[in-house]
Amino acid sequence: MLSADKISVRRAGRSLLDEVSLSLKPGEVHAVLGANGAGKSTLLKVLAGELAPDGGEVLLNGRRLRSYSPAALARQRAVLSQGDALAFPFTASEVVALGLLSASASQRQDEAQIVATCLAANDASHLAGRIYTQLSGGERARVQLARVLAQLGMPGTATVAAEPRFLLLDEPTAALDIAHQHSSLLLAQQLAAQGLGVLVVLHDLNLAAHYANRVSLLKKGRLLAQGPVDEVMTPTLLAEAFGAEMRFAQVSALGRMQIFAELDELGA
Amino acid sequence: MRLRPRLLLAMLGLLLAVAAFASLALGALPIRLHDLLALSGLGDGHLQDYERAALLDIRLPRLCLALLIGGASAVAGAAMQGLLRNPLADPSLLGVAGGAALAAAAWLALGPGTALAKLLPSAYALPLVATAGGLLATLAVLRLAQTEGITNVGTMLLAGISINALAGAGVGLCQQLASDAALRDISSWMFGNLGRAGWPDLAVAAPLLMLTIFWLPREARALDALLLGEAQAQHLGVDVEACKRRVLGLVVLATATSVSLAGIIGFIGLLVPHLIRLLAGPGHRLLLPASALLGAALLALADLAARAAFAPLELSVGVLTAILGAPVFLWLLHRSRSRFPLG
Repeated sequence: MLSADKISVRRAGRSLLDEVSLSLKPGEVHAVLGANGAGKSTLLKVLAGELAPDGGEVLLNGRRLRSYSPAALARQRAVLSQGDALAFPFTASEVVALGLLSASASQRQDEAQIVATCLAANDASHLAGRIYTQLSGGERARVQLARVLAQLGMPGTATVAAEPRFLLLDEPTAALDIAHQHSSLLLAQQLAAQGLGVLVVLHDLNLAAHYANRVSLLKKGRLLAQGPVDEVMTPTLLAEAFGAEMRFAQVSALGRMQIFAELDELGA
Repeated sequence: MRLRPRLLLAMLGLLLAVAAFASLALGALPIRLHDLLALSGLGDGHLQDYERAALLDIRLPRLCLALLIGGASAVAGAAMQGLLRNPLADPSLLGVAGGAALAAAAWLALGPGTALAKLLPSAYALPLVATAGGLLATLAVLRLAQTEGITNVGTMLLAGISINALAGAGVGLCQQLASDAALRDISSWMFGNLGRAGWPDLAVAAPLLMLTIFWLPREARALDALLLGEAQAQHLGVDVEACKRRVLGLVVLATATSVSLAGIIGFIGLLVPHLIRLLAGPGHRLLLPASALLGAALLALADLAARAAFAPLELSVGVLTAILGAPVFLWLLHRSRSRFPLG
């Protein structure tokens, strides 16, 4: 279990997160939703150990996050951040192989196979030999996703992990076309079924409703609601999170829950 | 198209061997290859006493210094570029060399009379002082170029230029305050020159330069990950801060040692890694050792050209590497302007 207990983060006198708690369990997809600046990425950075909180504590499988060495932490959880600084001409395969930096010697022996499997799982096998910096934004995003999968030795390799492992994804679908948005989150769902805990920051409410088991709704650094999808993604709570001028409706279409949103011009 | 690692290393090894033999054989006193082999007890060639002396006391230490400094500069340049995720980050542009030169000049002009001279063993004093100067200048440049942990490349280059200019002025000041003997020492550094150091200097410098050449490649995987970004490298399990400290420390050590022995020899650290990346891609596991080989060969050849082209007149090798390197730097700057906006 990856759990954050009453996390507070302050920067330059502003509160970015205010006593946010969250437990990510193995086997579930947990979506983090909220307006721009609500603190979603900050929360993910704290859970990843990238940012030390000013208050509260993060525990990974019962141990404080700070007590892990970077390499030990890398074997327990992988992180897909936003942004992309790579400006040197690695091939896509080489980028994915970087995921195995902290892997055990035996895993590194299977490097070529793990890289190929992870590229294939993201519909990126055909990109293997291409130069990463020459790929489109969506292609890069899939290669980066393959890299974080490789870090966890996923998927398909029958790794019996001693302890549960976690995947933290910050807006993985932002650059993807509609088909790849769905296939990436379906992959996240399958990984959760294999015992991984997946936390995903999303903007698309329907993708969250479709693929998440649990949802955290953030507003201005505070936790507005947390729980199963149908309890949290109600028109009332969504309007509170995204602004009173927004009007939401929850309907059933294509056999599942769908969220419709529009600007309420009369009310505003 | 990328060269296969073994093919590239074999080609560079061959180039290095050719460069080494040419450096020993050619010059004001040409020695036939056949006779050269007699030095190592091979073949039936024969060396005159004066030929033997020229080889052992002059050409061989000079060749060793060229190989070590060339190799270390190239590896240091490649590692620095990886650390800062920028192909333009050369130690000679980041103030390391300027700071080291200033500290060394100040030491030569003023140091020996001071109390510090009694504390430091004399053979190590110059490299140590130069290292301290290089480190200070580097920290100043990086400090000026960073805002909230992000290095602004334009600012970094401008800060490097300013620190180098300041250091140059400081060296000039030291020259004016120095005695005649110290003045000669100082002015021969202003232009890189491999001809001054003999075996005793080499005995001190060789371990320090070898440390850099053989240790930096151990950071190869971490440097690969750093190209993704510092946060990403940390997520992959790299202890980023510790890695930065080790790499910067070794780069400064190598640059300062080189400067204290041979003055400022720029552009090897810029030119060589760039050529290797074109041939073999950006992965540091191959880039670092291949850069060491090419850097060593290139500096040996440049030094050979510097002393043989207009013999008996000897050019400064630092001038020669700048003539080769500056146009390449300008070309790189032009090519990468869109990716690394200056300003």
